[in-house]
Amino acid sequence: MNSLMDDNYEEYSKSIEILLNSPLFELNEKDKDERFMETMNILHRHHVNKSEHYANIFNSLFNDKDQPSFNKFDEMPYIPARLFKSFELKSVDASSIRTVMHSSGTSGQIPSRIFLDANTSVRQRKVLSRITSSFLGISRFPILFFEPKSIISNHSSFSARKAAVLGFLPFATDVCFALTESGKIDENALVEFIERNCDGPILLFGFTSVVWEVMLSVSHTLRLPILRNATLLHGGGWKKLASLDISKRQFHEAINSVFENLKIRNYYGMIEQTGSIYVECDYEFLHASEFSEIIARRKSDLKACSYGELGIIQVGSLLPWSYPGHSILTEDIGVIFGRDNCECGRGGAYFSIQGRLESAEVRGCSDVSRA
Amino acid sequence: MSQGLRAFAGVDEVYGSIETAVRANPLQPFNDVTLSFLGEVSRELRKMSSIREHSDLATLAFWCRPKRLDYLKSQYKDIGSRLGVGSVFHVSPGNVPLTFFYSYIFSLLTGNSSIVRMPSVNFPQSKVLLEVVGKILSSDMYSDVRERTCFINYERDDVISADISSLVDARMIWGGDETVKNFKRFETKLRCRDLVFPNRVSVSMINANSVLKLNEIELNSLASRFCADALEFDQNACSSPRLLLWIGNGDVVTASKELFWNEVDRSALISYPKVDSTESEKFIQNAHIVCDLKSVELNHRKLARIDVFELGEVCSEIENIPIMFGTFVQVSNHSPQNALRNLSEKYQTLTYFGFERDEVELAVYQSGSRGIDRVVPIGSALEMGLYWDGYDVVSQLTRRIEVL
Repeated sequence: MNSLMDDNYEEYSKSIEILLNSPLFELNEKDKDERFMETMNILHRHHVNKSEHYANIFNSLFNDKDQPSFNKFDEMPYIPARLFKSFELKSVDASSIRTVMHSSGTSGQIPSRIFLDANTSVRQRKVLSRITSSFLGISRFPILFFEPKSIISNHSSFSARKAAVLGFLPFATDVCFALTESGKIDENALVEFIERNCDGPILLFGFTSVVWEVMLSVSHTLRLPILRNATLLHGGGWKKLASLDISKRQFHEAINSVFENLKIRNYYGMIEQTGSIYVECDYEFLHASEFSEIIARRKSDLKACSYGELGIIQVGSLLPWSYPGHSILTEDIGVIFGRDNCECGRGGAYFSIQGRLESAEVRGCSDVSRA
Repeated sequence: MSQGLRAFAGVDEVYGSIETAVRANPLQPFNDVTLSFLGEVSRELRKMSSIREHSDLATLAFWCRPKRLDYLKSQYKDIGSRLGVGSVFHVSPGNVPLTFFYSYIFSLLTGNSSIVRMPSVNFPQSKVLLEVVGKILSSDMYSDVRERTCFINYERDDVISADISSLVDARMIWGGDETVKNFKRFETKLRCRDLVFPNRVSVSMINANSVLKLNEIELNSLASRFCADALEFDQNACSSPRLLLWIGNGDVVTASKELFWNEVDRSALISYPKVDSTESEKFIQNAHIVCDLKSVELNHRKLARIDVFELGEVCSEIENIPIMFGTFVQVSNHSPQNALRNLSEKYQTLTYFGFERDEVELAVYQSGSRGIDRVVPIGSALEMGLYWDGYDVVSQLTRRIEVL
């Protein structure tokens, strides 16, 4: 495989392996910057060499062409998330691409396309379960997906949701797909799974808006055994719930009225950086792991925000090797509260997401704005 | 309003009635009652204190002042042999405040009645205009104009659009490619004339040598005129420049660009300050630009408010991708003819500086370019005229009657 022949690939691969075998949320700011940026710089050079799009953007839009390497994540060049909708972004030969992941995107929207080689896919899955198990405290557990079973069939399109399900499967000691093919809750399957596993740790995993729909449709007569050590991990954005004017508290109440004693954790992640998700701690802050970094940029000039200042979120991930998605300016806005000093005791940046960036009002002769 | 009947369910007749407008007889172009009405509009607007908040209303008031209308009338020699075509359906762009009103004026001046679909965005300027028009038209003196005036609102609805399209004698379709495509699907009277205004882009041409000869005040004035052309609508108006053609020799062009862009940047920061919400959109756009124009080595000049990309030659991507928010593409050339040669039919307005009018005119004709319908000095890009997008509006919206 060509990607394996790249000069720095071995060094890159090794550093990810080391991280996979190290405890998470342990590094302090100085060590994190050093370790994280070392691998980031390898990724940066790789993508400049292999991705024409990334190289064009870096060379034309960033003034630091001659800088040999970057010391902090806020010095890194970045590409807009929307670029994945407009171009086929690849940093390996086409023959190495095994999977093209598509964003689900609502109808009429152009989906993002993420080009994955075999190794990038494997690392995404490993890191996803590594981060999740760090929050659950154990590495293998029964999993309930709020998905229909068909999501893992070869015929279904490859989405971030499918990637997550496939990522978790190898670590599952028992599996339940809690939705029927028409997307309704399969109450029998749900009850049987909970009864089988209610004494031990369980992971429930789903898309935020799907979980909400399920909670609304569960019959009032449904009685589940009390859970002992179960966690719901949900993500994918509050956009839909916000449009329905559903608060986080209402969401939690609805879930706890069905699942007693269920720990609920939100996660933040994006299809362009599948695997290196940000998970909410007990104090309801999202956390960057050793595999990721996060900062906010001011809307007025795109300069880095100070802690506590609302801005446009830029995310970094060490996982994108086959495509230039290691440093991305999102269209989400949020606040980074600090690093290393969250009450939960985890190292690294902690933050919250406040919503989507409002698109700018464009005046002019043409009624159609850009896609 | 009740005359609207069932066919127009869902239409809000903000002023006048569709049916009355459709039935009205054509008049002669530049007829007295129209000129007097428009003169009144001009006077009323200028009297209002709120006009200071809206420079576009001030421009409109200036546009239809009586002296100017008399001058325009004098430019058309055969209006005595012309009559309006009848009724005109105006489909306004959703996001420019006043185009709907210029479109209305054009059809009034040519002796037609108007059914004007208002912009979907509720601009304060439109409200002001409708109040002024309503007040003036309440006088019986203007009953001829009153029955020929109808302003409507409706949510996008193909049934309504098709119904109105089937009734009129001409359509003025603004709003870009998608709107034009959509309206072309509807059946119209066989002799219905369509004036369509799909997406266009525009270009500036500057004589580098002339820029170097400017004193400080002149340079500042050039920059502020350029900014007004480009940034009033964030470059999204079809006549706002996105491409700059520099004419001159290497060193002169280099020095001239330096002077020009620094002054434009200063001027833009004062008159058209950055808007927070557009900074990230601008970055996203510029990332797309460097990827789309990848075939050439891009030299990027990033100033506080202005971004400029240097290209070796004009390419078709320039006209097909969004270039706004104070971003420009520039190309250098030795002669105007060569510079203009590769401009496609997508190019509408050429604004120029440092050339004689006749010199530019000759270059346009000799270049053989398919584009460029309008050539005006820098600073006049946004002025509406009775020649627009290559149409001679007066002849398009009238019938020339032969009497032997």
